[in-house]
Formats: sequence, C-alpha cells, structure tokens
Amino acid sequence: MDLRAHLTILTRLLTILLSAFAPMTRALAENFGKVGAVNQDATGTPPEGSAHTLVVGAGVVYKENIQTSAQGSTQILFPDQSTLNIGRNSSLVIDEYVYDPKTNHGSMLISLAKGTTRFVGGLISHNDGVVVNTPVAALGIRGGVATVVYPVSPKLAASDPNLAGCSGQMVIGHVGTLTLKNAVSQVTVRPGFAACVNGTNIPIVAPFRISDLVLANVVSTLRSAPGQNGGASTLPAAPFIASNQIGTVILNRPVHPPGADPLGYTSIFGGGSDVVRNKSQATQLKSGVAPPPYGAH
Amino acid sequence: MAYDGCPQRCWGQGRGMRSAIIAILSALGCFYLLFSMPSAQAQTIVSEQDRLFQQMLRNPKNLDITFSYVKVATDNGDYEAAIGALERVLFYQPNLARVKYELGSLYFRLGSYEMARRYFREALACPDIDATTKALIEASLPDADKQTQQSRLSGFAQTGLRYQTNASYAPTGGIVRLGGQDLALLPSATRGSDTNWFALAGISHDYDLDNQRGDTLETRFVGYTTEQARFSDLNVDQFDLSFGPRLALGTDLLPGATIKPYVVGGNTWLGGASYLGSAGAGISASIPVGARLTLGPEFEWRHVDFNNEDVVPLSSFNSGDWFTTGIALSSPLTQQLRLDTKGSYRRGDSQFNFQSFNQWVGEAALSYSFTPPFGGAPRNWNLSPFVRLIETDFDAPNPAIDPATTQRDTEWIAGVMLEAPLTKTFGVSTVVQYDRTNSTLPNFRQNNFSAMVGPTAHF
Repeated sequence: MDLRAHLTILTRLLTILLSAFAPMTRALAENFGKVGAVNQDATGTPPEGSAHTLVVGAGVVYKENIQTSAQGSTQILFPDQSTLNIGRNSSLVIDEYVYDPKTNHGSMLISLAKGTTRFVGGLISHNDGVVVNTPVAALGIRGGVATVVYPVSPKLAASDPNLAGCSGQMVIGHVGTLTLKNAVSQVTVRPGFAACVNGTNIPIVAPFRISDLVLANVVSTLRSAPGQNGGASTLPAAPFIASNQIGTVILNRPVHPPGADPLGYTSIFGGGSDVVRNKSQATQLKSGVAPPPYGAH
Repeated sequence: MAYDGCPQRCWGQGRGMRSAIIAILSALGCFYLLFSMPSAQAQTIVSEQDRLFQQMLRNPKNLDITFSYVKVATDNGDYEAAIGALERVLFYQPNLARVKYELGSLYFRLGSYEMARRYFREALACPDIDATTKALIEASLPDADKQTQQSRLSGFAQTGLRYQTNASYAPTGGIVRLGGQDLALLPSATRGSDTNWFALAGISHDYDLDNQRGDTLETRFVGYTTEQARFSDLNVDQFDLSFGPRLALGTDLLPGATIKPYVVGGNTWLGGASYLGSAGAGISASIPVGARLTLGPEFEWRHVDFNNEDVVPLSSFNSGDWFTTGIALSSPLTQQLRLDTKGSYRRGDSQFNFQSFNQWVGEAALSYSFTPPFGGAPRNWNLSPFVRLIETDFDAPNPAIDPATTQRDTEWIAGVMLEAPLTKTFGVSTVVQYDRTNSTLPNFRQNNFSAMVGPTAHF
C-alpha cells in the first residue's frame, strides 16, 4: 500500500471520527442557552469564531461572548430553567455551564466584563450555586435572583447617597443568599440590599438598602426601550394577557400581627374566658348553695 | 410567641383525652405529610412544567406556551421560573400592566419586596391598566413598601358583639361539690346567657437591625376588653406585651432559621379590679423545613400572680410559676389551603398542690383562602375551621371542694371563623364556636356556645 493509499484511509478514518464527534458538539451547543428575546444590536462571538447577530431562538454556545450596544439587550434561557437578562452596553461570557437534567445538578460561571445583568435562578442555583465574576469581585448566588452592574456609572452613583464614590461593581440582592468577595474581603448581601466593590484589593463597603430610584434606573436598562419589541413578531396585547388569567392573583398580607390568624384570634378570646371562668366558678361556691335537688345523685 | 393570655383552662378526665390529643396531632402530621410528599400529582405538575419549558425553548415567542408555563410554574411554587418567562414577555411589550402586576406579585411571594414595589409602581403607570388591577395593586403596594422599611408597624383590630349561652361558666347541671357534698347553686348563680361588646387589638413592630443576617427587634402587643350586658362583674380588660430580638441562626444546615429570646408580661382586670398579673421570659424559634413547612418550638416561663384572696381555696388556679413548652407547625398545603397546628405542655407550680397542675394542649386551624364571591374586593376571604383540645390534671384533691377527688378537666373547643375583607383595610369577621368541659368534679362541667361578629381593620 503506497503512501497515497495510507493517506486516503487516514482521511476516511478522520472523516468518520469527525462525523462521530460532530453530533456531540452540536448536542453540546444545543444543550446550552437559547436566546429568548433580543433587541439590536446584540451579537454573539463563539470562541475562535466571528461575531454574529443574535436572534430569538438562536443557541448560545460554550464561552460565547455576548455583547450589546447602547440600544441592545437580550434574555438567555438555560436548560435548568434559569434566565439571564443582559442590559445595554454589556459584554459577558458564559465560562462554564454544566447541567445534568437527571440529577438537576450542575455548575454555572459567568464573567461580566461590563454592563448590567440580572440572573433569575433555576435548578443549578438552587442546588449548587452560580458564580458571576467581574474584574473586581466574584458573586456567589445561592438559590435566587440578583442584579449585577459593572462599572457603576457616575450618573447612577449620584442617584443615591449610599452609592457615593461607587465606581466599580454593584450587586443587588433580590432573592436567596448572595456572597460577594474580592481579594481582601467578603460580605453577604440579603434581599433588598446592595453592595459596592471598587477594586480587587479595596475592602467591600457594608451593604445598604437599595433605593427605589436606583432600582428603577437599573431595571430600565434590562428591558426594551420605547419602540423595541425584543424580537417578537406578534406583540402581546392586553386582552390576550387578560384571557390567560395573568395579573389576577390576590395577595395575602405578608405579616400577621397577634390575633390576625385563627389560632391567635381564638386564643385571645380563650385567654379572657379562662380568667372569667377561674373567678366565676370560685365565686359561685361563695354565692350560696342549697341542698341538691331530688335525684341529683 | 403566640399570645396565650391566662390559661385557666379547667380540664380533666385524663389519660384517654391526652391520648386523643396525641392522636389528633399525629393525624394532622400525617395529613401534612400526605400533602407535602411528592405525590403523583405533584410529579405530574413538575413534568408538565418541564414539558412546557422544552416547548418554550424551541419557540420562545409562543405566548400561549409561555403563559401556560407561567401558570404551571406558579402553581408549582416555582416563582422564579415564572419570573424569567414574564420578564421575557416584557421584552416583547414593555407596557403591560397585568404582566407587571403579576411579576410584582411573584417577587412579593418570594419576599423580594423592593422588586415587587418597583413592578407595582410601573404597573400603575401603564396606560392599559384596568380598575381591577389597579385596586389589587393599591391593596398590596403599601404592604410591599412597608416591608422595605427599617421600622415596620402592623396591626389588627376588631370590635363587635359576642353572645354566649353560658357567660358565667356555671356548671351544666347547676350542681357543685363543696366539702365533698353535692349541692345546688342558688338560682342567682346558675347558668345564664349574656351579650358583650368587645374590642381587641394586636400590634406588631419590627425594627430591622439592617445587618445582613436579617436580625430584628420584635415587639408584640395584645389588648382585649369586654363590656357585659348583664354580668358586669365579669367585664375583662387585658393586655399582654412581649419584646425580644429575632436572630438568624445563619447556618447552612438550617437556612432561614431564627431564634428569639424575649421577655413578656401582662395584666388582666375583672370588673374593673386587677385580677391577674404575669411576667416572665421565653425563647422561641422558627425553622423552615423545605418550602412548605415551618416549625416553631418554644419555651416560656411566667410568674403569675392572682389577686383572688377572697376565693383562694376555691379557685382552680392560683399564683405560682408556669412553665410552657410546645411546638407549632405551619404549612401552606396548597396555594389556597393552609394548616396551622400547635401542641404544648404546661407545668403550673403553685403554693398548694391542689392548684398545681399539668396541662396538655393540641390545636389546629385549617384556613381556606378564596376569591370573594363578588368582584372588586382586593383581599381574599378566609374560612377557617379550628379545633382545640385541652387536658388539665391537678396534683391533688382540693380539700375545700372534695378531699377524695382530684380535679381533672378535659375541654374541647370547635368552631369556624370567616374573615371577609371588604376593602384593603376594613372587613368583617365572624366566629361561631362551641366548647365543652368534662371534669371529675361537677363544678367544672360546662358547655358554652358563642358567636362573635364585628368589623375588622388591618394596617
């Protein structure tokens, strides 16, 4: 067999091998995120690939760099039912995403180079936790919802005295346990609070209550601007929303003062009755008694 | 800490009833487990959510699938999944009031009140908002707003009328035992019905220490007063006050668990004269177990001081130290059904052994929350059947009553409560209940039917 024949066999073997691996690669790609909504400009750049415009339904592959322009924003859905909203002027990479649907365990690592993102947790964050890195700190999310902004703009910092001097990363806790750490410090951020970290070697300041004004500013960057439709071909209308029973829930009060619950309520009356009974039954014996009526025994 | 007032519950008839209490609590535990276990139906719901999610992944823009997914995820308690889907809908159309209200309500139920408030406010600003959605938001926005404050004051108040068939708690047969002899009560002291005007208030104040553990300082107040139409000497004025820090345990083993040491005190007046004062301390805990169960173990010591010198030898209870321990179980069985149960034991040590006692209590309430029968009310109505079983065994016979018979009382109470909010603040509440006490002594055998009704207010 000459060299040409050897090369032919080798080429065929390589072709078979590559053909065998190709579905696995595709499977890996399909098992990753899907673009659920997108406002342009938003692009994805796979590793060693070229940038392409994101469209609704497109897959997001391992280590793909997602970038949005000053008008762009997008939402990515993940197989563990978590979602990632990416706001305007953002750039991030999903460095790691492993999910086993049989066990509902996995791992997720996101690197935010700049911009705003909100992570809404799914099975991975509930069972194992998710990490969001920025150039200045790492955020661990356990079972919840969090918003990350990096860097904090001077305009945003000026909107709340608690953000004065904040120019690095801001983390807002919404649901679950958040742990923010850099090279020199670590803080826990509870729901309704935010924390700022200005550098890797600068201690993280104590978390503070997030103001509605700051939240409004941040939320506005994470959704469509006027005139945008997130890539939808048919816009949802109010009657359609109503017919699907969206927005009909009646919420219960979040706190129950004493007596506002059935057992507490009845125990108040019971407490009063007990005192009356103790006094009344003793007093009855002093109020006078007579021989028992006939047949009492 | 659950308010327990003065527990002068005279029970008896002993061991069998104690077994019954244990049996009821066990049955309730089984009831909970049946609801909380991953039943076939629950598995089906999860599978349905997975199936819809796969469809949604293939076609994210399909709103029929998206809203079906939102409904199933919400029913399944997976509020975060529903949030992700609805926030995508807002990408498509950012000015949908109902979607924003739904998102706010999902965050609200997750305890993310700052996001709930944000979405509620945005919904109110939407041009397409309808009157019903607006009313729902205006009812819940103040709640969300309050929960984002460091200092949070909440209250419940009711006034109304209460009718009792045996307001003086006279023995059923009109017979009492005194010095071991059965005697008849004079007609003036026998059973009599009465109506009273009552008012009660429960106030809670939480001061958030704003640390990242979520520690708070809690103050709880209960006030209760009655004005009898006939038996004015049985008018009650009562208050109870407790204060203590609620501290997060902060362990990975028990996420969300808190512990609360507290001091407590109160006083009760009867007929305008001080009758009972108490003071003490306790410790309680709140331990979430999974998503649908919270355990509340507690221990409390109180020194009680009765001002009943004129009838001391004849009273069931007297001054001393009371030690109470118990555990409460609270569980949302479904979106509409909630079970609250509590079992407790109290040891009362008094100067006389015939006024020292052991007491067991088992109680449960099943609350069904439903949409008001007429439209427009922004709060759910609640129908709550409840039951309470109490057994009290005294240590020795009371020689003044019967030197040969130890008092053992068994009391059971059953009733139903309907709370009907009419506006976001005001409503009407009514309760009917029947209680019956069996005792080894005729003095304490009694029954009483009562009905209460009156307007309520929440803030």
